[in-house]
Amino acid sequence: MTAIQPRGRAVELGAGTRDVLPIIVGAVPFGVLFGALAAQSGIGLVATLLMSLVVYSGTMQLVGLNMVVAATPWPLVSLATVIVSSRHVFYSAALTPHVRELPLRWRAALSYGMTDQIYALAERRYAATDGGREKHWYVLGASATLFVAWFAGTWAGFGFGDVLRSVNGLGLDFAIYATLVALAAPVLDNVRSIVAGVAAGGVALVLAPLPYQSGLFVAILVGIATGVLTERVHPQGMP
Amino acid sequence: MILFTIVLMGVIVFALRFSFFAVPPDWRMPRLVERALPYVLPAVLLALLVPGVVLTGEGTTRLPVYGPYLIGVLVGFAVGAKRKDNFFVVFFSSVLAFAAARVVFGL
Repeated sequence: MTAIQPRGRAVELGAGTRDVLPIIVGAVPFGVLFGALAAQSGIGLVATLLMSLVVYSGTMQLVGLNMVVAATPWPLVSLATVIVSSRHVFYSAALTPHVRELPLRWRAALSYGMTDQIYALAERRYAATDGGREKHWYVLGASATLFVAWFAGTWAGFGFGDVLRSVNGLGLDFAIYATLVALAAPVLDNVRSIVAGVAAGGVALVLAPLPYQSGLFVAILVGIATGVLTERVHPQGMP
Repeated sequence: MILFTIVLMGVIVFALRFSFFAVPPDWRMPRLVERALPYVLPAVLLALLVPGVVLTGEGTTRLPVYGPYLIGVLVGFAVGAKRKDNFFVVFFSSVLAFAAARVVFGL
């Protein structure tokens, strides 16, 4: 993660695979939990694995599972999907300057694996000023590794959920938060970013009771707007 | 019908993730959007982090609020202020502080 020399494809791929490991520690128990809940719901192994394959979004899968089990009409499921996943539009916008020159198949592949954590890893790698031109291989390595772990976790949870759910008591979910801290530390290096982050975090906390994490989109939007407005007081170039 | 609904969910999630990636290479973003992009990552990270640290998965406040989760995060940020470019040092400092706090609090 900290290397500052331009790197080849294989090195980028390996670095992405390595850097995503802490994220996997936190994500796999979540995947196991989803698999176990899906098994209990009775939707079957095929539907469970299909959800991890085509949706590939922890929050959305849990929300979707509840709605599918409750026989919610597909238009309402679609609306909930848009609300829950709308923050991904921000990720797409933020990374576009880095991927716009890539072939369509590459942009599609990177989009498929663009979870919250992979976006943060990608943003961090693209921000490194080492002149590397193969950074998309880094993102591919990270997202492919995380996907395999997520899919395997889902499958394991479906088959051995009752046993594996006990790992939740070990506090492994904290690995996710430690990852977010490690990713946030380098970007909170100026007043504008700190203000943007604090505003987003505060609004997200206040709006947390809203269903399906729908407050996240609003919180991120408020944080970004606050950061832009703060530029009037602390212009870019100031710490 | 279940499989159709799942595939539909997948199509929507992918469309949202792909949205800006689909624009032609010569398309230029509006100036305001470009100005906003540096704040996406800090906003996203803290919007995910703060509720997760303060609240449990059921939406209730973690007790004690000054417990292992908050201690782990604060130690992580403290280390990150000095070693912000070393991902693993920050990560493991945070995890170790969390683990130590769990022992201290008997959790």
